[in-house]
Amino acid sequence: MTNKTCPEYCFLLERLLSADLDAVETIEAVDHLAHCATCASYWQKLQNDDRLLTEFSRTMKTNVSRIEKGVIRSLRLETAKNSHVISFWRWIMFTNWGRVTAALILILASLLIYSLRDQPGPVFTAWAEVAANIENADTFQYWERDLVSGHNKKTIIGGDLGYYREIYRDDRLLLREYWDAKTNSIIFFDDEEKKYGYLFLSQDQLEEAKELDPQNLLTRVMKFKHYDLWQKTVGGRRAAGIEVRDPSFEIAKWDRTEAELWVDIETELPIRFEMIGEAGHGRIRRHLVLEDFEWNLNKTLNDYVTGIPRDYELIMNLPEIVGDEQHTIEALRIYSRLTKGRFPSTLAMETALEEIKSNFRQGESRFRDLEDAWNIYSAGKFFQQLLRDGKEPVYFGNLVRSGEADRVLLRWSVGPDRFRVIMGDLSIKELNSSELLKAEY
Amino acid sequence: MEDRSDKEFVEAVRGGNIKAYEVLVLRYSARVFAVCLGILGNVCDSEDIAQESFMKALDRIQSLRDGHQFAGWVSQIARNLCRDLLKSRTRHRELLTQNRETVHPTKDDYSDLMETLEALPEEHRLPLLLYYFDGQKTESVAKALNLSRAGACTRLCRARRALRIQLEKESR
Repeated sequence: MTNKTCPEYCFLLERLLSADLDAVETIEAVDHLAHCATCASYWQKLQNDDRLLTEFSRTMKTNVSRIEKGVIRSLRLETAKNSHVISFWRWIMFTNWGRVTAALILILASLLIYSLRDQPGPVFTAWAEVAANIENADTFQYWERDLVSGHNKKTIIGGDLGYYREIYRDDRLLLREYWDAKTNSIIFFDDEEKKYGYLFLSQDQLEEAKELDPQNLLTRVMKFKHYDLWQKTVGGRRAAGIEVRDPSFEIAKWDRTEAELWVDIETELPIRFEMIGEAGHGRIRRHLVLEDFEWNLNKTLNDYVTGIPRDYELIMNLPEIVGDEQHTIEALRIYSRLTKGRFPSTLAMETALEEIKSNFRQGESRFRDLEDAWNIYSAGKFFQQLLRDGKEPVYFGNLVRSGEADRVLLRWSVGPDRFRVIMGDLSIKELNSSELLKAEY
Repeated sequence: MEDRSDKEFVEAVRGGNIKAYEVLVLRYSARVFAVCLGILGNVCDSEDIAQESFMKALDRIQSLRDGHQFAGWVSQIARNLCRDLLKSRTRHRELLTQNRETVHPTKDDYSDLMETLEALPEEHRLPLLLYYFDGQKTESVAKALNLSRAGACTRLCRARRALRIQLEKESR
């Protein structure tokens, strides 16, 4: 053995902790520990420090995971943006036509802004009157435009009676529906197919529908902290506006919201409401416009509701939608059966149902299977719930075919470094992040 | 997947495969975070700068000569960004003190340790955090700090000793 001093042995012990000693040095250090109480005590303290730092680094794993998610989210957003922006930018920068067009657009935009700029006008203070007018409105009509899904809905609200609604995709009428408030049921008609069906609302769905009723939604918006906007002309009428950014004003629990409400200064009634909501780090997005309001119509709801035509066939009594893991798997199983092994490209509910309907039109499935297909709403509801719970779900329906046992179809986080995964064969697995990485790439 | 070298992933990114960059992020996020925390001593700022480092590295990836050097290179970017942040904060010490209540997610258990680490000079704090956050390997410390293995080992030993002295000072 060498004649090292205790400070020199301390250096060896510090290296021993990092497993940096060779066998001879290790034996030497351990042998010294057996004979030197001072160094043994120092070794004990070093080990305690080591344990403390190891545990500390474990607690920081969530921070590391947050960094990973943040960067990956930015990458995906950049990828989506750049595919459009780069080619447009190149066109502007590297072609004469692009440069000339960009210059012209800038000049025209400046002129347009100059000629149309809005004047602030006097401060509008009658928001309490607006709220009272909304609450007192009897029958009114409005258009709801979903700028994400492309669905437009014309709705006539008939006070306590319920509503009548026409749902369009572009200009094509997809469905008409009538909510009978007395029986809590929705009757819907597919006029192209001459079919009709019923859906009975659960108490939860009823409460949700009430929250989304514009009479509740618009009056609630005004109660939240808001900022006055400059007056401007909306739909040919002088309008005062407010902006609300508090996500809790809407039942959907978005991470981020921006909403603008514009009211007619003369009638003191809303003429336009626009809302953008984002959740799940932008993966779920809603851009909604309520406009073309007509308040206090000289008609009742009964003027719009028709009876069930005799030649219409009852297609289904739809079951209540349950959004959980088991129903989601069942829904995906049914969907893949109906579409010969495919999964819906997204779990946005309207899109998924429309994809199924398009398959029916192509003769791939039979119309009576639509009752089964209704279950796809369960998957959509489950996915949205996961997003709202912050479980970061990711869905790969457009990449995976039914039966692919080694491919991830849907996954979500269930704890630190744990993910629950539905595979292409609809089996369930729980994986850590490195296992998930292997499965996804 | 994990056996593939950084160079292969860097080449894939240069070829337009952004997914490949996600693998590099997952591989080195802990190390970059440790670098930032080692310099800044502040969890929130470190998370932000770590993210910014990866995005900046992606912007400049065409300038990286050898893909094998990605880990050291991205760590260097993180160090530069941290130094820029410190320069821009003439009162950063005060800010750290002000932020202390909010920056430690594990305040109850580890706030004392975090304070002790903050009290260490960067040359000691950085190798310690790198060692513990990035798989407890001396090689990781060496790579991230552009040191030889022996050099990293010496720095780590000094850091352990400095931490011990600091902990004893505080326990008195």
